[in-house]
Amino acid sequence: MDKKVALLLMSHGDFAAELMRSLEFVIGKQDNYETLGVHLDDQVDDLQRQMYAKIDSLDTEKGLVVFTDIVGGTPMNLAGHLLEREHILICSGMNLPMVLECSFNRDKTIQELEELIKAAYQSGMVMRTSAEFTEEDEDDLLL
Amino acid sequence: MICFCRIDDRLIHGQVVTTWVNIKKIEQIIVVNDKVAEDKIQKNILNMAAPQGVKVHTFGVEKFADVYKTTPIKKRTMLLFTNSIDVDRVVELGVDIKELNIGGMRYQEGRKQLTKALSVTPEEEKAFHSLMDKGVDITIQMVPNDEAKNMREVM
Repeated sequence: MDKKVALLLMSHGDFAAELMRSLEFVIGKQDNYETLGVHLDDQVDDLQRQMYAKIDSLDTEKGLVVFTDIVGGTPMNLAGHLLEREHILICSGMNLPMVLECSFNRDKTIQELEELIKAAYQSGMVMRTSAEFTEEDEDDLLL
Repeated sequence: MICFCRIDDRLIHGQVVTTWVNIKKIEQIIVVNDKVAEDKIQKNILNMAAPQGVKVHTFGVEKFADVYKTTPIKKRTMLLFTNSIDVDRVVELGVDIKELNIGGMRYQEGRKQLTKALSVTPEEEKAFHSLMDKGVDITIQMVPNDEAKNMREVM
């Protein structure tokens, strides 16, 4: 089996861990990932140590994708420390469609994932209104 | 071409659109269910639940058997049912189904639970036996990542 890129999800509160729970609910069990949640009484130094410890527990030979919730937040600032490493991609605005797409493509390179995750972020946002409520036309049925 | 047949009482939802539709390269989903076929709102919701580019059609059980006889299915198609009775009925009406995936028939009071995701009424259990007697290969597998279990093991 091909090696998979490692995933690290970081968020304010338990969003990151719960996102992975939701993801595994949808597509089944995943491996080679870690999550880190920032809570009110956490110290930044300690969080940084935790982050490095979690990354050390992962197989990052093929690369590491870090998802964080919002730009400028502590999780994103923590992730910034990782940029000195190679084969790393940090994405903020983490959501389920992005992480799903990434999970399906973990055999790809970091460069390929960059494009796929960007596309998933865009296509994951759909708005519907009552204007689209339609009746199916059965006259010209093509299967 | 019918590429994949599934029983899932939630019909089109996250597990279906993110995994099976991609893996089986599905271009079209046909929902076969009498109740849904009568329900305008439910039909619209199903249309909107499908991924971009995947067409959804909904037919009642008898209606689908008629359509199957007169309209060739050219697109790569997933058939979605909510229960085994409807599957057994369309097979009896001539629809060619050799393999059937069970995604979920949820537990409710009065149903016998066979696996975490599969519970049956006596009628549904009978329909499963009838399908197996007709040579249909039935496997229980919610998502492709899960281990596939053969129906014979749990019955």
